Amino acid sequence: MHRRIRPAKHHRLGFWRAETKPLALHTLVGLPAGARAVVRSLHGGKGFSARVAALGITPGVEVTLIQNQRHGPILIEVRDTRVALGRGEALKIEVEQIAAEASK
Amino acid sequence: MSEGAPGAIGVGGAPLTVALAGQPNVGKSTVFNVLTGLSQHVGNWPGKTVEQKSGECHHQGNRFRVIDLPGTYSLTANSDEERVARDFIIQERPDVVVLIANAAALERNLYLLAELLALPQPVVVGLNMLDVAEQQGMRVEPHVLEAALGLPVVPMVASRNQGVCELLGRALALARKPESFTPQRPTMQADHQEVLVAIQALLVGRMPEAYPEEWVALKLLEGDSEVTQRVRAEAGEAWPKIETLLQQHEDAIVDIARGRYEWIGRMVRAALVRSRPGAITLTDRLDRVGIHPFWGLVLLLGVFGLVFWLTYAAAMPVVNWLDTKVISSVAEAAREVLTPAPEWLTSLLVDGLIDGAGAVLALVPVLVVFFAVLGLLEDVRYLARSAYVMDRFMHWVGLHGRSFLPLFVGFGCNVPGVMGARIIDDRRARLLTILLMPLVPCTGRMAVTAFLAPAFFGANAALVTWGLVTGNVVLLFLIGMAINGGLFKGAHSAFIMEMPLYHLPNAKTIGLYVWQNVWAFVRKAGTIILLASATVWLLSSLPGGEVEESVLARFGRWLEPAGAWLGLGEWRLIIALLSSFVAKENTIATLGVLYGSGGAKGLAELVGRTLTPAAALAFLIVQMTFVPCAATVAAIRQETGGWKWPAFSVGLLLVVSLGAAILVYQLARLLG
Repeated sequence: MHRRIRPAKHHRLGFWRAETKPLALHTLVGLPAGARAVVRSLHGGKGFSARVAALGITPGVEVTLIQNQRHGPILIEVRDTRVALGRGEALKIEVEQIAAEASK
Repeated sequence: MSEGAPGAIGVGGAPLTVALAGQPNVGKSTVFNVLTGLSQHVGNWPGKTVEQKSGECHHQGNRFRVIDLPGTYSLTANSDEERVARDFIIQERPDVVVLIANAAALERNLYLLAELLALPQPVVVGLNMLDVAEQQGMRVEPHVLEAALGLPVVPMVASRNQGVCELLGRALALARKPESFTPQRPTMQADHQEVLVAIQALLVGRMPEAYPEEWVALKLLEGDSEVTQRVRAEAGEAWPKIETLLQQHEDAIVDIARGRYEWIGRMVRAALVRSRPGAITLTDRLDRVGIHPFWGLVLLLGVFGLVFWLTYAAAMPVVNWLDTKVISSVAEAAREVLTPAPEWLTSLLVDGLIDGAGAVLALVPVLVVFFAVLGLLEDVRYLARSAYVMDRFMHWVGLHGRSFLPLFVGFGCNVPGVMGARIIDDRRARLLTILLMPLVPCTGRMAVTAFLAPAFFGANAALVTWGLVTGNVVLLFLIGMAINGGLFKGAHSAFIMEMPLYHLPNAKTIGLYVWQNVWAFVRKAGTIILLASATVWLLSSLPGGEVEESVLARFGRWLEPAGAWLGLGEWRLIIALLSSFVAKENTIATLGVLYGSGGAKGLAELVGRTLTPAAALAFLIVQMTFVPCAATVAAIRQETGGWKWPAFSVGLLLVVSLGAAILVYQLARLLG
């Protein structure tokens, strides 16, 4: 849970270092309710990746945060379903926020 | 389902085997119930703590054996359910696999199809919940999807019994002509395809025949732990090479999953039309309260209160009526019929079996109401919300929201609670949930408390009962923290759970749920409790036939000095407590036998008069937290696969219950 999150392979080449235009790379924990984001990578090992992938969470998919309080689990909408994730799990999912003004 | 269409070609002999697959919350159990009704057989998958349901049905003169596979999101060995589902398909080779898919979450549901198509069995898709999809602003064209996938797609609304017949018809047609099954199958990205072929080549001739090499290679790339272990054991000298290849493609699972969703996206593109995106749905509105961190909790407490109020207010009068009218008249009738029989036989049958097991069976109405309400909450999908709301608190003991569900069931009866812990995928969390289960006061214990508290505390009975239940919950959390911190070193398990859309309840689903749980309880009463009642009777009658001089009385008196510590210097109470090991509700029956009171009314007061308030409180505390009953111990053994944990549980609760009672008794005496 506390280890640093490594940038995934494809980030090393492109925009990860591009500091001119900061891109909002977060984990799911860092996003408020109503935010929309695209999943960039999963950082939890094969077992974790397989589980969340089967629930629809794969790199490239769009998710909407439905609930994110300061404590307790996080609720997201992904591929027409709602998935609850513990904070520890949400921390392993790296996302890029899209169009913050579209947030409710 | 018997249509008996004329001219149907009967496939005599063995029935066709249909495996029902699907993700959770797709209405699969509704389909299964519609198909098989009461012909269902519920058991366990061999060697696994996963429920196995099978049943029979008929269609156009053909017999089908329907196996309800556990609901799984994928076929990767993340959980026992997934292992069971795929082992069945691979090893038992059903004639057809029927995949029930939720049309309102089509893409995610077809992920399982992508997995199934890696296996050779023919697949029919039952596109269920089309009505729900419509409400969500989605239109799915089954024919378009069928054309894209190249396999039968049957539109269904199983809750209204639509499409189930056609589903069987298409399954039958496919089973008769399996060679006609030529679907589109998902393919791999080019770079992984190469490795897949390379691993496949290394596997040739090394795996058991039933396992397709391509599938095994795929699962290796996905990092499937079970397949990896098997191949390591069986691939011999090919393993190091395979391992090297796998290490070079560590991240393959993510790409494979993404590839599957891309394939699904192509398949559904033409078939899925979204009419009004972003509409606020009923689920959105209900969840504003249902999952709210504060109001959700208030709602949960309210629901909780309502469940118990309904259970006891609606069912208790029936229980009392059964207890005082029905069972006593059965006992009377038996006594009359048995007049010519020897006295000991009459005593065994009437005092032992009818009184003992009867008092337990009288609890059936309580369980019926409890499981009906619970089944309703499950079927409208509220229970998932309760798990979500409780997640924060379950973290205090190193568990997560999912553990709340079996603990809730435990309030009805600990046995289905222990079995229900199967829904927790993490072994450690499941074990901890099972160990905490006996601290959840079941209806049996609540019945004893409800019976004795008014006699002990008069007007304050409700307050005392409330305090006792709260005490149990506090103990549960304290002990949970202790076990988690000490035994499990504060480990944390992952909470990942689907939050399904709210759903209109289905009477048949709830009815079957009640029936299966209550029937299991009745069977228990018919076997274990009957035997135990006979044993208690025997011990309380030998050697002379007088309770006062019996083996049991002597044993009880021997324990009196210890009992005095918690104010129970009365052997009858000690024995009543010990007899709760047979079944919690037995305490009342045993007191009845030992105090020799005929009417139930007088008994509680009779007992109450022998105890000081402090001792009465101590008795109720021990009773509420005492060692798990025999059936629960048996369930713990079955679920944990050995005697180690049931023994631990008994020891732990013995210490906890006596400790708590001694503490309270001594404190109460000090304070007067």
